[in-house]
Amino acid sequence: MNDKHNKIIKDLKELLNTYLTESFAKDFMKVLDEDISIIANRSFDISELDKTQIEYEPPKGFNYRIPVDKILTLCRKLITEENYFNLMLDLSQLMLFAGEVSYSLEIAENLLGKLHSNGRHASIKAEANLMISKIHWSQAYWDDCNYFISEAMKIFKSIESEAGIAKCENMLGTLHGEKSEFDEAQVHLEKALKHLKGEEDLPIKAMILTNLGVINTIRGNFEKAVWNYKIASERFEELKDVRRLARVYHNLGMLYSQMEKYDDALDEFNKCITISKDMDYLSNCAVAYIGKAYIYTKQNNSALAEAYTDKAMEIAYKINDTLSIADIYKIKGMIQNEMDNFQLSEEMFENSIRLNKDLESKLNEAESSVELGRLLEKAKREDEAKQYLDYANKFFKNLNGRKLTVGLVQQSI
Amino acid sequence: MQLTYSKFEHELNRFLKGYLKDDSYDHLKERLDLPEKEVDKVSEKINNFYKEQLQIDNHQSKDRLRIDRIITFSEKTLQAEKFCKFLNELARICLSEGKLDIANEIFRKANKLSPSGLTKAESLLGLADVFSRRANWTRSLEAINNAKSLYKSADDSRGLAKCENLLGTVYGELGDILRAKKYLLSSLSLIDTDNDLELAANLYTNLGIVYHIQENTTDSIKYLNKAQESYNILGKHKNISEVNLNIGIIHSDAGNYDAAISAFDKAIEIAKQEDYLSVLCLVYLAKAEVLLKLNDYYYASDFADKALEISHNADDKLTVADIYKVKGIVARELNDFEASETYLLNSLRINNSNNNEMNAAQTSFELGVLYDKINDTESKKNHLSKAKEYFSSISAPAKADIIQRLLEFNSAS
Repeated sequence: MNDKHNKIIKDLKELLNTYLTESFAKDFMKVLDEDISIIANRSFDISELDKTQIEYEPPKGFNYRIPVDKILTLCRKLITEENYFNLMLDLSQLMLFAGEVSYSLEIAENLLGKLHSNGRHASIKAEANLMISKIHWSQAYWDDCNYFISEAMKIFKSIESEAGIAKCENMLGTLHGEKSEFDEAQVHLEKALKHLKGEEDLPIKAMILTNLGVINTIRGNFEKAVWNYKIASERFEELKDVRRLARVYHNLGMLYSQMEKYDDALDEFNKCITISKDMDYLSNCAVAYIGKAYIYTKQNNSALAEAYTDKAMEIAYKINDTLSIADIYKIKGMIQNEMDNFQLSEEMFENSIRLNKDLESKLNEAESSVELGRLLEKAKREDEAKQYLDYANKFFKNLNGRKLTVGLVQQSI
Repeated sequence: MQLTYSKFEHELNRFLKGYLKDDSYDHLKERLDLPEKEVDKVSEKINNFYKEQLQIDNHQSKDRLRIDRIITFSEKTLQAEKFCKFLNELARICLSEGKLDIANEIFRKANKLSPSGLTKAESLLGLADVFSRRANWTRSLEAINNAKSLYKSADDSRGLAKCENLLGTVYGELGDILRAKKYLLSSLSLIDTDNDLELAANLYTNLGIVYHIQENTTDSIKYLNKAQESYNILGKHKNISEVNLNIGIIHSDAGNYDAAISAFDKAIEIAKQEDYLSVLCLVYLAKAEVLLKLNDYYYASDFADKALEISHNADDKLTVADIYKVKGIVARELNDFEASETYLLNSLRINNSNNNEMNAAQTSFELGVLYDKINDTESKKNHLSKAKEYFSSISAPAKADIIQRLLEFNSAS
């Protein structure tokens, strides 16, 4: 443990001493001080591709700040007001993909502030609200996300923008999907499709189909999901939209994982990572790294799985993707279980369950509950195991025989 | 700082080409790429002491893991009320280390779970603090007012004093100095300063800052010394670094640069030791400003760049705006007028977007100096008049006089 961490631990220990009984605090601090990494002193076989992915150094976000701020300042005088506002929207979107969440929000809120004061450009105002909802969604702030979708919806309805309404329905679908309310999610996504007609709506249609693919995967409707992803990926390829194409690859990886076709899944995750790493799309990288870590766990390659979860953790922390962090804990729990470190495994599953509960992500909570339940059964603590397994069984009953553990974060668009 | 984000730059260029005509695009590109290279070359020669001061470890994903483990463990161990109090304190630690996202997440959790009005009020104050650091004034004021109602109904005068203190800092950040002072004095009247050393010291620090802005150095020093005395008794090292920062600023503004640097160095030493990033960033910036006054442009630029890295990561928009001001002055003094104008306009744009009147006025003053240097009389008059109007309104006559003299100097020439 390096000196840096001793400093924060000093503060944390003081706090624990104030709140816990002496014995509890002492036991817990001992656990906290242990280095939980299993790869520190182990060598393991690694392919060149995995090596480059693990050694990937995400860009330092503040390097983006100066050029983007200069663009925002200088372009104000160079282009029309309407174009400037659209540029702000695009920059906000770009920063979100790059994992610069706060900066993305700063730009979008700044745009909304300008639009409030001038009272024109209703369509851009609606898009700015939708953009902010997307940013809150990425941080799992569901109430804020919902509020801004409603604001966007009101404006799109007032200007009778069918494409805009479709986008809002799509966003509502993803919001309900994240909260594991799959019936509501599907209703919104299907409603979204009904609002679309012409050729110009193809990009939005591709987004909605991708999200329907996610729901179909979760429900075990694999053929439908494959079909959704095939059409969506063709559209994104035509549109040269590599960011969203990478997300479709990730979701295909997730689909194959659920079908236990692990080699195919690895191919898709690698395709996603290759694009996302090359373009520094951090939000895609985090989930695809988790996807690979899950597969390596299933293939009993704990060291490599750990290396991928650590990298995923580094990225997810940077972009404050709490849902991914919750999933990382689950996979860390699986890895520790594989290493027969029951205590730490239990703790990691508990972390995952707690975070998913806080984030109202019922599917992920149920998945981690299954893992913890099985661990407790293995440790002959059947009574404790039962409450977790009962909770999970009750949840999965409503998903029509879906396989119990997928272990991946879906990536909605 | 050299442009090292080639993939990102490529994407930005693609964006910009869609928005700009060819000649505008070329012009903008030129301004985006030009200024910093020279500064970087020279700053390689930075001395070892400064190098050491600028070296901090920002690799924080392991901290997240520790914090999550502590929360999960404590949730199982503590009663609801005690757990929420614990969460509030844990979030405060995260806040002081510049971990705004996780502090926000923990305060939200405490707010959601709080069984009593008082712990809920405490979490609301924490959230208000997070919002104000992000310059989200509306939500900050809303959270303070909600906390205030809860403290009022519990007849908790200390809680009310904390609300008034935070209101004072928010209005201070907004540049409404008279209102800020009113709230701070009201807060002071609500507590027993002999028995509540910590809150009293916080208020003394804030009053010290307000009196300094109002050019009342005697009272400013008096309050800062009182604050330092109390923090010494309490052993609150982090706060001592904050007081040193403010004492340094007073010395710097009085032209006592050696004393200022000595105070800043003390502040840096403590803030680095304590991982007090939120203050470290401000000290770096203050040191950059004093180095500017000593014509050490290259060192000033290095300190400003390091401050930019921390403030961008901590989503501290107001400090980012201040850093652009310093970078603008550096470029102006190096006769790179285009770069200087861009940086100062960046600063002005961000301050205006966040309604920060005082910093906007300071930047307007610097723009006035720039336009004076390049004989753009109309722009000079425009910016200096705005700055003068502000400083007159907050009872800072010396600053207003300096601006008036600069305005008259122009009229005479």
